[in-house]
Amino acid sequence: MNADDAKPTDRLERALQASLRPVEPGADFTATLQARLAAAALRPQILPVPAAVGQSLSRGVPRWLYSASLALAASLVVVLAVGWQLQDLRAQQHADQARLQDRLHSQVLLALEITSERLGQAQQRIEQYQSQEKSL
Amino acid sequence: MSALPADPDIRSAAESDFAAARAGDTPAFVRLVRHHQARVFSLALRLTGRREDAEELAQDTFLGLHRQLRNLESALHVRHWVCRTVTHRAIDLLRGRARRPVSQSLDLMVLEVPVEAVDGDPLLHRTLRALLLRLPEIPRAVVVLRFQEDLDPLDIAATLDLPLNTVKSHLRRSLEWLRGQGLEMPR
Repeated sequence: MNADDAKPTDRLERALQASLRPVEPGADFTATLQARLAAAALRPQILPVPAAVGQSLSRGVPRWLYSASLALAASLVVVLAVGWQLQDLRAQQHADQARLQDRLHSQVLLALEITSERLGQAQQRIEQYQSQEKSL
Repeated sequence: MSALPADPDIRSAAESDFAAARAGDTPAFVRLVRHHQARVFSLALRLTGRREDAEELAQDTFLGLHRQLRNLESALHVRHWVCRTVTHRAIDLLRGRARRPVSQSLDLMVLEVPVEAVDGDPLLHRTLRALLLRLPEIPRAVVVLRFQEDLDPLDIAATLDLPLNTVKSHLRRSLEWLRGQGLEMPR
């Protein structure tokens, strides 16, 4: 076919025209569409923010001041977050140190108890030995 | 693009349906849908090759039309709008879909082509539709718009947002390829 020509001219083109004759969709096509239209109509609409709200907020305030305020607010949030984290870290370090001191203290007490017991036993043996020597 | 019937009475009915549908009259919109549903569904069917995809695309197109009615100027624009929308949506769908293996035999493809009641040799028609599904998306859309919708290359170029010479080139090469497939054409 000559593509410039608007009308099909040969057998292939006529066959294509016959093959591609429009066909109707399923019988429930229109009913389904109507149901979908009804469902779409019932769906709640997302309301846009009225422009007046934005305008009233920004009216008379320079743009740079908004940017500076935002930057300041962001910095404040960062400083607070870092401060809280440091405080938390310090509290944790204090708690760890206290736990370590308690453990050391109890270990020292245990060691003293053991030493005192051993000393008592040694003292007992010495006394026994001395009494045996005297009896001989 | 010839969008409306030549008969002045039918033409005027189409225009009044369009105006009423635009004003929110649902029965008028349904009449508008019934007027265009075969062309929209068939375009989607010939481009996608699947009935279920075609029904879905056609439904989406008419839902879009319902939202866009206010932006259309006349019944004349409705046909162009629906053809353009369903064609672009079908092309997008085909591009997103995993490609059919090229090695699939034509016989198998012919069997998969949806059955349609047509005059003439049903095997020839099914073979032609199967062969069309072997064309890449854009040449396929060009051939379908040309022979289903009887659009001239200028209207096809407007529908597909392509240069006129590209459309002519796709049409010429697609027809040459189809002729090279050794189909027996009725005299």
